Amino acid sequence: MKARYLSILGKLMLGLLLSLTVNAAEPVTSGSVTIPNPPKAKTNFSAEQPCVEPIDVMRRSHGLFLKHSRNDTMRHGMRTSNYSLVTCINCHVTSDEHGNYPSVKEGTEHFCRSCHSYAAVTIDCFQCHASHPEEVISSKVNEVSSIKLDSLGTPNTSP
Amino acid sequence: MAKAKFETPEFRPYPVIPVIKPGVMKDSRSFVSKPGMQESLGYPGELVDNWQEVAINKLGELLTKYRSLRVYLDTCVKCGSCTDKCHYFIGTNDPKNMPVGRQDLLRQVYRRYFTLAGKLFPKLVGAKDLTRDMLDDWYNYFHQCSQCRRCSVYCPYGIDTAEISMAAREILDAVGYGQKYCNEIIEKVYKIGNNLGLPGPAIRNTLEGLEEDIKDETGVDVRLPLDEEGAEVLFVPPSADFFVEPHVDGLIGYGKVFHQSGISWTMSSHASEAGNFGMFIGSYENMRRVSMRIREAALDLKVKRIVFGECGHAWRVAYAFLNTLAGPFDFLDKRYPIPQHICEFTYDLIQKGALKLDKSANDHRRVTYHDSCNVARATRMGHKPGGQFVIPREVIKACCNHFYDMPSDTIYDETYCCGGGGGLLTDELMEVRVKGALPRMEALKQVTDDHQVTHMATICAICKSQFTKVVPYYGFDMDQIISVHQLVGDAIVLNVNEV
Amino acid sequence: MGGGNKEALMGFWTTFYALSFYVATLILILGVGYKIYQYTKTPAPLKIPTTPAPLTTGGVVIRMLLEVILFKSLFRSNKWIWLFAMIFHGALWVILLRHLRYFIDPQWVIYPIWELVELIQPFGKYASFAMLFGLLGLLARRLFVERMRYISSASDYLMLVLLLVIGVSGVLMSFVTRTDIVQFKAFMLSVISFQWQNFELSAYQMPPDSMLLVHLAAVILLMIVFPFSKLLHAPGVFFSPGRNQVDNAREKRHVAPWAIKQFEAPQT
Repeated sequence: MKARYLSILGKLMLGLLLSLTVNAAEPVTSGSVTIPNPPKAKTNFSAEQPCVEPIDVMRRSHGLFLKHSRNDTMRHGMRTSNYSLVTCINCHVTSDEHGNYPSVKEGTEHFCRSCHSYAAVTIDCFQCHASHPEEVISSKVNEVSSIKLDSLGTPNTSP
Repeated sequence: MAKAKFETPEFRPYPVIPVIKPGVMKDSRSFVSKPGMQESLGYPGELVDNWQEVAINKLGELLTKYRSLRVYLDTCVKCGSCTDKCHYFIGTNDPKNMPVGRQDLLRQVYRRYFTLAGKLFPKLVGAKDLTRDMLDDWYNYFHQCSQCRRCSVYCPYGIDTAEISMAAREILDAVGYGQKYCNEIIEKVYKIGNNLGLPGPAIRNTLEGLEEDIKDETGVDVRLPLDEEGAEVLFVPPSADFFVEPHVDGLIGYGKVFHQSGISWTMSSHASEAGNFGMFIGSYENMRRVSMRIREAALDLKVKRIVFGECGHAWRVAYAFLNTLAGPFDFLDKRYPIPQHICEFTYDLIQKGALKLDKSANDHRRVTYHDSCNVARATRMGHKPGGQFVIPREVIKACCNHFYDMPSDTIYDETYCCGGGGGLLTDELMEVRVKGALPRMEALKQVTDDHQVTHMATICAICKSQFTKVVPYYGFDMDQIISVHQLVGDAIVLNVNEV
Repeated sequence: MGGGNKEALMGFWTTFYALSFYVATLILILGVGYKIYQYTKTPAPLKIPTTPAPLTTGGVVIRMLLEVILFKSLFRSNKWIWLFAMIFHGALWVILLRHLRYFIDPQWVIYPIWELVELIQPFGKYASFAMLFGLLGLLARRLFVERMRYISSASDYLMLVLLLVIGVSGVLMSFVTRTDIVQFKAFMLSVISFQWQNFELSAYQMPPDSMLLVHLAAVILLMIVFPFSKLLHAPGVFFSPGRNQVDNAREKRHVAPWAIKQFEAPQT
C-alpha cells in the first residue's frame, strides 16, 4: 500500500519536475539541429542592401513593419508605408521548375512558412492576402482570389 | 484568583483583522520546569552550558526523524494565508502569535544552520543565530501555541504549526529548559498514574461516592467499576472527570450509558488518565511511555475493547497515535474500532435503539456545541470523514430539543481552540488564555444573542476547564459549560431494559 | 562598426549562456532531486493528516490535485491571495508551455504535437500580462499589508522582482523590441542536443539582443536559486504529511523504522 502510494506520488513529482525543466528533459531524437532554409529572393533591394532593411532588422521586426502597414492602410486609409506585403511576396516567393508555388498552409517550402513553422508562429496575413506573386494569380483560374484582390484594390508599388 | 493584570479584549462589532503590535506578549511566560521533573522525563535538570550546540544538534536530529518538520520548514512561501487564523494572534495582536511568525522563530534558526542560503546570506533570507534572546522567544512563544492545527487547515501546503511547536518544545527540553506545567504533569502520570495525581484509593473512594449520588438521585444502582478484571470494555477517561466540575457530570453520563448498554466495563487505576502530555512536549518517547499504560491496563484487565472518554488531545493520541505507539492490539475484539470514542459508543447504541432518551429532560437548556480543536482537525469518529463533527452533534440532538450551531466559520474544521490547549492550562498564562478565547467567545455571544443559547457543550477536559475559568471574563457564567455526556446522562431513562 | 566586434560579442554570449544554462540545469535537477530524496528518506513517524482527510489513497490523490491545481486551502483562507496566486501560477504554466517551441525541433515530434505547440502560442503571449498582474498583486500585498510586511524578508521581495524581470523582458520581446527567435531556437536546440560544433556558425549563435540577455539571465538565476529557496514549495507540497496521508490510523499500524529500532527491536 505504502509503495503504491509512494509510486503515485513519485509519478506526480516526476511530471512536475519534467514540466519545470523542459529545457533539460526534452528527448534528443536527432543528432543534428535543423534550421530553416528559406528560398533566395529574386533580386536585391540595392547594391548595398539585399532587402528593404538590413537582414538583422528584417529578421526581428518584419512582423512589426507589416502590422504597422496594416493598421495605417486598412484602419486609417493611408498608403504611405515603405513596407508592402505584396512586394515581399513578389520578391520572395518563387516557383519550382513547373511554375508551381509552394503552399503557405503546409510544408516548409514557402518563404514565410520555412521560419514560421520552425518557430511555431502562425501567420494571419494570408487569410486575406495572396501568398503567391500577383501575376500568377491573375493567370490562374482562381476566381475567389481574384475577386477578393480586386475588391481590395491591389497596391501598385514596385521595388 | 488574583485580580487580572490585563484587559479582557472587547468583542469586535464585526470581524476585523487586528493590527500588529510587536512584542506585546514577549513577557508572557509559563514557569520553567524544575530539575527533578526534567530528569524523570529523561532531560537535563537545568539549562546546560553548551545549550546552543545541544539545541542545534537536536534540531538536526529531529530533521532526520520527522518529515513534517523538514518539509514545513522548507516550503513556507510567506503567502500570509495563516496570518489572521490563530486565536492567540486575534486576541493578543502580537505578530509572533501569527502562525508564520511563530514558525519563523524556528525557521530563522533552521535557515542559519541548515541551509546554504542562510549560511551564506543570512540577512537576505531572514536567517538568525540562535542567541539567548531567541531561545527565550522560543520558550515564551512556543508556549503560546495550543497546537490546535487551525493554521494547517488554511495553509496551501498544510504546514502545521503544532508540529513546529512540538519540535521546538522537544529542543527546549533537551537543553534543560522545559515547561513546568507539562513536565510536572507527565511526572505525575509516571509516579501516580494520572495528570491530577489522584492515587488509586482516592479514585475508588470518589467513584463509590458518585455511585451513591446516582443511587440517591435515580434510585438505580449504576456502577462505576474500577480495576475489574474480565470486563468487556476498558474505559479511559481524563482524570479531571473523576472530580472536577463540570467534567464529573460527564462521568456519571458515561456510567449511565454503560449501565443501559448492558456491556460490562471497567476503568483502571493504572491507566486512570486519557490525556497524554507527551504530545504537547513533542516527545515521541514520553508519549509512547504514557500510552503504554493503556496497553498494559488492557492486558492486565483482559478486556476486549478500549473506549476513551471526553478528552480532545487524548482522543488525538488515542485515535491517530495509539496503534503506532502501543500497538498492535491483536488481543482486542476487531469488530470494534480500536480504540473507540465514547461518543461513537453512545451513538451506536442510539442508532440501535438501545438507549431510551427523554429529550424533554434537557428542555431547560438551549445548547450549542464547541468542536474541540484536536478532535476536529486530527481525528475522526465513525466510518466517514467528518464523523467527528456529525456524531457528537447527533448525540446531543438525540438528547436535546434545542440545539443551535455557532457561526459556520467557527465550527467543524474551522473551529477555534478554547484557548487553553496544548499545555497552556496553567494560571501564569491566564492572559494569553483569556485573550486566546476571544474568537470562541464572540461566536458564543452571537449564538446567545440569536438563539438565547444557555449552554455550550464540549467533549474535552481542557476545553471544559479552560472555559469555566475564562467565560466569566466575557460576561458568561461558568455553569454554562457542560459535558456532552451530562446531556446524555440527564436525558437517559434508566432501567427500561431490565423491566 | 566592424563586423568582427559583433561576431566576437555573439561568440562570447553564446558560450556564456550555453555554459550558464548547463550549470543552472545541473544545479536545478541535482538540487531539487536531492531535496526530494531527502523528503522521501525522512520518515513521517506519526499519522498527522489534517482531518477530515480521505480514507483511501485515491482520495488523497484527489485532495492533492485540488490543492495543487485549485489551491483549495488557500481559497478557503483568503480570496485575494488566492486570486493573485491562481492568476500568476496559471499564467506561468501557459507561458512555460508556450516556450516549448524553443526546445522542440518540429522534426522530433509527430505533427499533432507540434500543432498543439502552435495552438498554445497566442494564449501564452497574452498570459504574460496575466502573470504580471498576478505578480504585481502579490507584491502589492507584501508591500502594503502590515502583517505581510512583517513576515517578509528581502528574499521574498527579490523573488517577486526576479519573476517580474522575467515577465517584463518577455513581454517587451513579444511586443516591442524583438529578437531573432529563429536564431535563438537554433542556439537552444544546439545547447540541449549538445551540438556544440554548431556554435561556430553565426546562424546558431545567441542573438545578442539586450532584452533577450536580461530575460535569460533572470531565468538562469531563478533555476539556480530554486533548490535553495522557498521555491521548494513546488515539490514540497507533495510531501506534506498533513495533506498526503490517508486517514487510517486505527485500521492500519503505521510505525517509522527509527521508532521500531529504538523501541521495539529488543522485544521481538
